[in-house]
Amino acid sequence: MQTVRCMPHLVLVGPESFPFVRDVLRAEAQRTGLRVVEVSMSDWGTGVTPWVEVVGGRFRAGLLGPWGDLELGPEDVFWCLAEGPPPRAESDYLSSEHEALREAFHTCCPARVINRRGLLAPLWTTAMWRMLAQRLPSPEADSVLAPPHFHLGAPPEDGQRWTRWPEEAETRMGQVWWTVPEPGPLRQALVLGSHVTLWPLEFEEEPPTLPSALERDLTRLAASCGADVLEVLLVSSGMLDASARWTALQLGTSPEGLERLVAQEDPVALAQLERFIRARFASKEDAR
Amino acid sequence: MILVMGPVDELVTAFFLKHLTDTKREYLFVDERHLGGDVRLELDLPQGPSGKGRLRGAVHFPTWRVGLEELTGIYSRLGTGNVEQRKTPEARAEQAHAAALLDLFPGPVANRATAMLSNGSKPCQYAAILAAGLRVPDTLVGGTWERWEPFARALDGDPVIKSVSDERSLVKQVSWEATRASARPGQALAPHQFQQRIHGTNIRAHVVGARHVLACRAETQALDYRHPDMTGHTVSLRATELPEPVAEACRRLSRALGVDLAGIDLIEPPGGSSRPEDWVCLEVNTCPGFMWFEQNAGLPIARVLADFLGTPLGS
Repeated sequence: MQTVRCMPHLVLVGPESFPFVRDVLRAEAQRTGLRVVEVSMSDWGTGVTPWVEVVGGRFRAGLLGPWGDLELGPEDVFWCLAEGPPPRAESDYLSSEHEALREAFHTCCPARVINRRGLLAPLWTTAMWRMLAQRLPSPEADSVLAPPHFHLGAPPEDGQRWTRWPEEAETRMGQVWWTVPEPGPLRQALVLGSHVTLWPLEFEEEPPTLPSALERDLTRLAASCGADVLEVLLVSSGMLDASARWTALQLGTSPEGLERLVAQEDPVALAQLERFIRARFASKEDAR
Repeated sequence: MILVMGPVDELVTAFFLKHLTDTKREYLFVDERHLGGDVRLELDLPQGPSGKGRLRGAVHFPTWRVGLEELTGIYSRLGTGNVEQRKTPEARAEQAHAAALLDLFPGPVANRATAMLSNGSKPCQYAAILAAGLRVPDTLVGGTWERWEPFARALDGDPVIKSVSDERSLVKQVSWEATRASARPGQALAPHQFQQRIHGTNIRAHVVGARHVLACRAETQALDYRHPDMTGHTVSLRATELPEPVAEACRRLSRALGVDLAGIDLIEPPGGSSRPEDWVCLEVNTCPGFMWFEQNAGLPIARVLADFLGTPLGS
């Protein structure tokens, strides 16, 4: 089988779900001189399979696909935007082996990875409500960002409005409820690297401003989750001024909000994405 | 009070419960078959500063309850012993609540549900093992014959094959010729883990609370000391002290993986060494069945674990 190696690559898995973000990534890759390789969700694990090697304590990893054997190194950038479970194998044992190989690839791939997945990555191993409960509030005294009040079991009869946590991983089985006292308007924060923007999700007379304390807490949250790209659904409580407290209601690792804004040709969102991607492409960071 | 959760007839669960009873420790036991039946968990996590006291709730039995504030630590053997899980919505809900309790409880937990996941893919652990300063075996998972052949030829002897996941598999050596015969040119190999056979002495180190290291040697001619009888060999377990730098690397590794009870499989190089980078770590068992090692090597693992789980937070 032919080994592919001529210029650095940008490898995207599942980009078909985010066509507008993909177009920006393609344009930036072309500008930077990266060759784009796109792997659809349906091909990931069937037509394209990963491999991982460690020799002398040094990881190597790559992808086998129609193009041959593409080894990925620190000069390459890898972003798995979306993936489904590996295709079913002929036995449960082999299915587990395929899944373990995929996790190994995500964890050990020496490329510059955006939103690294794998079994050492908390955002991909922990239910989102538990991530919020575990990571917030940050221990620093000046923290303004909190999780909702969570309750497991039958909802308390305390006069508060309790909402069932949406289905995800294990909450399909558990009874997880949440409530927020006196919630303000719903907003979404986009954290891309160290840059944060805040967006309204309901009609508001004025575009929301991003308090510096909230920006600091959101970048802390993304860093503690190991996320480069994180979408946070949040509401404020109390007055919307510098003293406001904020509650994070949900975390998203897929750039769905970003896709919507880029599709609307929002110049702020577009600039934020371009700035982030340029910084990632220019970064020399070697994660493994 | 220590909360123990697991199947009452599972060997390690029963062994630890007997230790707690014999040493007159205060404990609460929940048989996982009763989750969603006679036993249910209630957890409440209000907004407020992080830390001890934020998580409230109780373990409810039909006529009484035990508040979480009475618990000092949790030992979980949930999901072990091949117990058929009840499929009722109530049982599934309580199993999910139990997993959440393991993750959110502010005191020591052996082990938290998410921290146990790293064992699901051995190369994932290798990233943490290397960062802790230990060696890992040269390994290849996936790829084609064209990648496998130079990898295998560079090894000293035939490669070992084992599962890459946490599925039980018998470790064995495979010949170059046998793998060549099963490979299809240009096609991906089955996703098993091929690696260098490491010569030296098998050592199992149990690390409790990322602090206490209890190690033993497994002396055997078998390739996989856990199953010596399958190859007609015997195994002898003997307590040993690890060189302090190696013990410290094991503590670092346990801390990095977030496990309060780790079973670390090491190979000591022939002739010995006190340098962690000379020791190979094969994997970290995140739900170790420590009973066999305690009974055969005399390691006081249950006592150290009970001490650790029975110490109130902050003391």
